[in-house]
Amino acid sequence: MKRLGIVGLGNQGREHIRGCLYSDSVKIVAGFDPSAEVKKSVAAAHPELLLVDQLSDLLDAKLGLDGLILALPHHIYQTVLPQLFEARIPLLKEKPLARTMDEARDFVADAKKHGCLLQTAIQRRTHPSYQFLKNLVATENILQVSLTMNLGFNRSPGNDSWREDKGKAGGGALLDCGYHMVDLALYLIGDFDLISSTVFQGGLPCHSQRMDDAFELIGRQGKTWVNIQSRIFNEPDSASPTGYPKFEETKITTENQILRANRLGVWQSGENGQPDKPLYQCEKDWNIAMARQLDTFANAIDQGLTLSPGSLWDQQPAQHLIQQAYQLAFNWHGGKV
Amino acid sequence: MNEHDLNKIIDTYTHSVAFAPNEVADNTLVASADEAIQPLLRRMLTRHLRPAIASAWALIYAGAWQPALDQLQLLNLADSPIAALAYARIATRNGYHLAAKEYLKFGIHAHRQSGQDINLAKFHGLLGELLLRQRLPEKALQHMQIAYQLTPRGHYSRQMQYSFIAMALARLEQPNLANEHYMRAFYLAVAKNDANGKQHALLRSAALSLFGDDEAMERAIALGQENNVTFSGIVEGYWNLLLLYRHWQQGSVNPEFIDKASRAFAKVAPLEHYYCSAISNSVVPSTKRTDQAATTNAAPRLIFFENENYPAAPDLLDLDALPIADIKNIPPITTVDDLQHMLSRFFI
Repeated sequence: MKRLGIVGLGNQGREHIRGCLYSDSVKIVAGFDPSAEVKKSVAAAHPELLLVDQLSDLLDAKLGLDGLILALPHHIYQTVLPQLFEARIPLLKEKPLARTMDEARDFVADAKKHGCLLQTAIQRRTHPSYQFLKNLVATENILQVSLTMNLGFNRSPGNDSWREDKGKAGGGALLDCGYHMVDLALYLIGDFDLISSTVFQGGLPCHSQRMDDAFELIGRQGKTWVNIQSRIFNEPDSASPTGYPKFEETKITTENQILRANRLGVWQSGENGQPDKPLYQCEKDWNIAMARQLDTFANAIDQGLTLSPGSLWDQQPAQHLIQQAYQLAFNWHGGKV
Repeated sequence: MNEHDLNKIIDTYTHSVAFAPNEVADNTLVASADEAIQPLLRRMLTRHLRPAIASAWALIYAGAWQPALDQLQLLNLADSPIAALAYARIATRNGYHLAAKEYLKFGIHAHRQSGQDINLAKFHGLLGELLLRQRLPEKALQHMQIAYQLTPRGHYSRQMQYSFIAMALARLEQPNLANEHYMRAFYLAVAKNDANGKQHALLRSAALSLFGDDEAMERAIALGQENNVTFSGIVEGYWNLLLLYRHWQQGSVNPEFIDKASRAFAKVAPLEHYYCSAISNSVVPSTKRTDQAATTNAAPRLIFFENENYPAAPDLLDLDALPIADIKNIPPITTVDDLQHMLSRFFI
């Protein structure tokens, strides 16, 4: 069983801690977070974890860690990764691959130079319902894949979270929740061409200096079209009578049926007012998905790989598409991808 | 030539031609060919037959809506899905927006499958127009962007597409960004000495006065004078409504502007003609109304669309979830804000 440490004990870090309980391949034994308050909260929930005072403590040979999970604000990686590459400790980095393609290229080049495994963690493609969905449509002629996500957050004035700072986060809705959705679309149907992209802030199209809180992408792969849309905040819209409650759904329209899926399962849409027929059901939480990723990470460590299945380069299409989408959205009358 | 080659030719051309099924059925050449090849030959021969779609469009541009529909009904929509664009255009311009939606759904689905990007772009563009008229600018912008991206560089329609994108941007409280696009369209038209393109772009730039840009009309007048632009036809109609709005903002309602607009719209823009009736009936005392046609206050009627006999298509764009409705009743115009509200629904 691999002994792992975790850097960053916020929400995502805690998902990993819970996920590892479902994995037979890894055990998270130590962690670090610069926030005393966060450490206190994690210590109470997971007393078995050794919480260290400095990041470098996790690199101490005495701890005997086989790898590190990184769940940090996007801008922190630039300062943290170099020392971790130097230490040649295998790394599982929470998505995105990076804030930009150039930053991603730098990370990968650096990892390769040091012979260091750098894998990205992204959950939906290892979640049971989405894996079931992919297998279900494997032989179908897909007309369209539509992915919708509304996070349903309330706007908090004066919020100084790093996620609200474009310089730190690198992007808003498109880079953040959009990354999950683009990756899921890639997982379900493979790479696709971008046709149009619009990003919004406060319901209005925004430019590159602003932080997007909603977006809509259209793409296609041959005769299969892709529609991805997401909103971060829950607020009413004059064009929509229902507002934006928290919501996530993947809808696949084939020649024969319409399938809907979310984290709870997969349904076949009923026709002519008939109820939807459940095809698969599962638990909503990410534990299984996280565990599967951790297993892949452990396997890559065992094999001594630097580029593994589910590795950094699986994320390249998603990163590239996101970057193209931003360029397309911000370049109204000159852009064509 | 084998069946594969024939199929390839058919797929390339079939969606850009029209045919009249009754004429094809009488053709002896088809009847004498192998049964397996007959359907393909039939479609090949249609290139030589009466172009019903081209006729329909000529009638549409002349405002002969029912004759255009008569032409289109000669066609088999399954074999000529491009005809759906003409149906949708007639429906949109006459206020039958539910019907327009259905024909657009059909046409988009058919052309996604055929890979005919130019035609697909036209459908998305018309869908953008429909959504603007239905006050759904966010969705409109998306479809206009799709139309733009699907159209090859250098295509003649690119210039108009800048304007279409700008219309959506204007309604999304981005008048400066909108004007960037109008100016690009305008100067492209200037470079090509395209009189029609110049007046369309300039009019739309002037229409930014409806969206808070108080200098928009003065800028347009100055640019028009510099570049010898005159407004005519439907463009002149819209211009007169903008003048009505401007004068009303300054305190006076001049019925002459409504009359001129109404006459410009009478045949070719039935929905706008109907709007002029509503404006006239609301703001002009009956003793001062001069354009008899403007007092009828009747919405356009085309029985064909009232039958609701639409082609079947999957709702891939979730259009059924949008609040799209036919234009039947115009609320009274009693204030200049009411006028602004109505005019901002025009596809300017």
